[in-house]
Amino acid sequence: MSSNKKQSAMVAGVASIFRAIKWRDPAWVFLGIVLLVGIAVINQMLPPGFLSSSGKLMHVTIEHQKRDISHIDQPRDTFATDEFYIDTIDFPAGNSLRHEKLGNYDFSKNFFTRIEGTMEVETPGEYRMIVASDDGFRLEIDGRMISQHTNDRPMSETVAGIRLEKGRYPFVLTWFQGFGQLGLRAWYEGACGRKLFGESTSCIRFLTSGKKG
Amino acid sequence: MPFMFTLAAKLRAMDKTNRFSAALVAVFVLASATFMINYHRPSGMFWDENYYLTAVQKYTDGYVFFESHPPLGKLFMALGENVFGRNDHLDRSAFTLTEKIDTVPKGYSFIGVRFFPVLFAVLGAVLFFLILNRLIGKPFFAFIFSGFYVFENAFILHSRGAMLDSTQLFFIFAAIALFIRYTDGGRPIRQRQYFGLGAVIGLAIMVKLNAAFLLLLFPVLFLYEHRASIKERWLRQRAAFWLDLLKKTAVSAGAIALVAFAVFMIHFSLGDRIPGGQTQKISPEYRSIIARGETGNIFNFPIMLRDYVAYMSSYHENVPKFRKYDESDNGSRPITWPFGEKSIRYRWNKTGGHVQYLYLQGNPVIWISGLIGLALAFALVSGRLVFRHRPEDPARNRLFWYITFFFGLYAIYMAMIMRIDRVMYLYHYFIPLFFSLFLAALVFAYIFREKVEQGDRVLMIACGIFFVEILAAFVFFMPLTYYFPLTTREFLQRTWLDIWELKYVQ
Repeated sequence: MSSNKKQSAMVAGVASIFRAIKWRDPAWVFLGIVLLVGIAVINQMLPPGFLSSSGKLMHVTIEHQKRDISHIDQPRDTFATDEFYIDTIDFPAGNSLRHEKLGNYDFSKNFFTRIEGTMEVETPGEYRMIVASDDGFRLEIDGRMISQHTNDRPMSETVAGIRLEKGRYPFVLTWFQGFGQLGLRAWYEGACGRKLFGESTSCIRFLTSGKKG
Repeated sequence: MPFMFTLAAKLRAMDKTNRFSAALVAVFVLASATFMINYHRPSGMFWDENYYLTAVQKYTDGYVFFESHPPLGKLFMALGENVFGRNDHLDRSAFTLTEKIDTVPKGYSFIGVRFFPVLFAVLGAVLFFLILNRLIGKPFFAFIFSGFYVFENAFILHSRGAMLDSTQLFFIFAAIALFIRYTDGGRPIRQRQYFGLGAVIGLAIMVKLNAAFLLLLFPVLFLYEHRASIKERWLRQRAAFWLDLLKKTAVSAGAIALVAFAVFMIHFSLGDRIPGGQTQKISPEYRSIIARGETGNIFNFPIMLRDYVAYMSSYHENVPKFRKYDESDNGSRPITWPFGEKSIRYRWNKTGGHVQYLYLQGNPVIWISGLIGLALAFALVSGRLVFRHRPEDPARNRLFWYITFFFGLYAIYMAMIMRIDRVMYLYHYFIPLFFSLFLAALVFAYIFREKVEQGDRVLMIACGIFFVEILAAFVFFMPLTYYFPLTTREFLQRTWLDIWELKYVQ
C-alpha cells in the first residue's frame, strides 16, 4: 500500500471513530471526563522531562545537605541525593527549583547541584561563557576551571572568555543553593549568537549524556 | 486488552446471582490484599498505638483503668493480642505503669493487636459493596465504586494500625445497611428491627462516642414508617401514634443501653487490681469494690461507670485546642478536610539516601470524587427543594431519597464536629468522606439511571477506566501508605497540592 493510501485509510479510520462518538450522549460525555481525569493524573505522576526524550542531554545530581550552605567548597554533609536529566541549563529565578521547560522540582534550600555534559565544538573560535546564578557556581570545561563565584549571591551574571578548538569537551557546572531565592542559567556566545547550554547550533552541538536515565 | 474483552464477555454471560457473587468475592479479595498483607509492619508503633498498647496490656494483666473512648475497640485489640499470643514471652509489665509508652520490647509482634482493626476494615469493604449494590442494583457498578474504599490510601494506612476508626466505621456501615434494608423493602418495620438497629448503633458508639450522630436514624426511620398516615394519625389516632413512638423509642434506647451495659461490664470485670504508679482518679467506692473482688457484680455497675465517664469528660476537656499557626501541630480545621488538609506524618525512617514514610495521605482521585459527589448532591437536593420538581420515575425518586439521606448524614456529622473545641485530625474525616463517596456513586446512578439499567457499554468502559485511575493513584501513593523507601525527589513528586502539607525529612 502506498503511503498516500495508508494516510487516507488512517484519516478514514479516525473519521469513523469520530462519527461513532455520540457527542450529546451523557455516557460519552462521562467517558470524555474520565479520560481527561486520566490524562491529568498521568501528567501529575510522571517526573519532569519524562515525555521529552530529547531532554537527556545533561545529567544532574542534587545533593541535599543537612547544614546551611554558603560556599561552593564547603564540606558536604549529604542526607539524600537525586538524579535526573535536563536538556538546557535553564532554571529561572524563584523560590524553588523549576526548569523552564521540564517543570517543578520543588527543592528550595541547602543543596549542591552538579550538571555534567559533553559538547562538540564544530566551529573553532572565541566564545563567551555566561553563567547567571543564585547562589555560587563553578564552571569547568575539559577539566579546566573557566569561571566561578564561590559565595552566595543574588541572581547575577559572571562572564568568562575561552578559545575552543574543534573537538569534544566534557563540562561540569557545579552550583549551590543556600536559602532564599534561587536560580541558574548558563549560555555560550560566539559566532552563532547567544544560546543556552544545551541548545545545539552549527557552532556547538550538545551530545546525549552517556549515563543511563 | 483481549483478556479484558474476554472477561467482560464472561461477566455479561453470567446470571445476576453469579455476577453479584463474583463482585463480592473480588471486593473481599482486593480489600484483603490492600488492608491485610504484612499489616504487622512496620514493627514499630505509630500515632495512637502508644496509648492503645498499654490499654491492651492492662486488659491482659487484669488491671483497672479508664480510657478517653468507650472500651469496645480496645477490647477487640486485646482479644486479638490474646488469641495470637505472639508476645507472651516478652516482659511487657512496663506497659501497665503508664498511659503511654515510647518503645516496645525488641521482637514485639503487632500481629495480634492490629488484627481486629484490619479485619473490620476488610469486612467494611464488603458492607460498602453491599450497600452500593442494594442501592444501585448492579454488581458491576457497585464493584467499581467499591474501589473508593478498597484503594483509599489514608484509610488503609490508618486501619492497618491498632486504631479505633475501622472498627467504628464497620458498625456505622452496618447501621446504615440495616436502615436501608428497613426503608427499602416496603415491609412493615417492627420493634425487633428498631432493636437491631439500636444494638448496632450502640456498638458503633461503644467504639467512639462521635458515632452518636447515628441516633438521628431513629426519628428518620419512625417518620418514614408513618409517612403515609402521619397526618391522619395525628388528627384521629393521636394516642396510638404517640404510644407507638414511645414503644419504639424505648426499644431503641433499650438496645443501646443493653449493648453499652454489656461492653462496659466486660471492661470492668476484666480489671480486678490497680496497677502500680496509677495516676487515674479512682473513687474510694470503686477501690472498695476492687478490694472485695466484685468488679464483675452488675450491681456495682453505676459506680464504676460514673468513674469511667468522669475520666472521659476530664480527658476531653484537657485536650489542647487547634493551633492554627503552629506548623508542628498535626491538627487541622474540619472545613478544609474535604481538600485533604492536612496530612500527618505518622512515622519515618532513614535508610541510606532514602526515607520510609507512613503518611496519612489520601488517594486524590477518590477524595476529588467525594468532593464532586458532594457538590452534585448539594445541587440536586437544593435544586429540587427550590424548584419543587419531582421526576416521574420512581427509581430516580428512590435514589434521590437516599442521596438526601447521605447528604443529611454528611451535613449533620460535619456540623457536629465543627462545634467541637479541641484539636481534630484529618482521620476524623473518614466517616463523612465515605458518605461523600456514597453520594458520588448515587449521583452517578441517578444521572445515568437508564444506562446503568441497560448496562450501556460506553458507560461500563468509562467506569472501567475510572477504576484503573483509582488503582493507579493508589499505587502511586502506596509508598506513603506501606512504608516503602523514597528519594526526596520521589517524595516531592507526590506533593500535588500545598494544602496537604506533605513535608520531606532532611
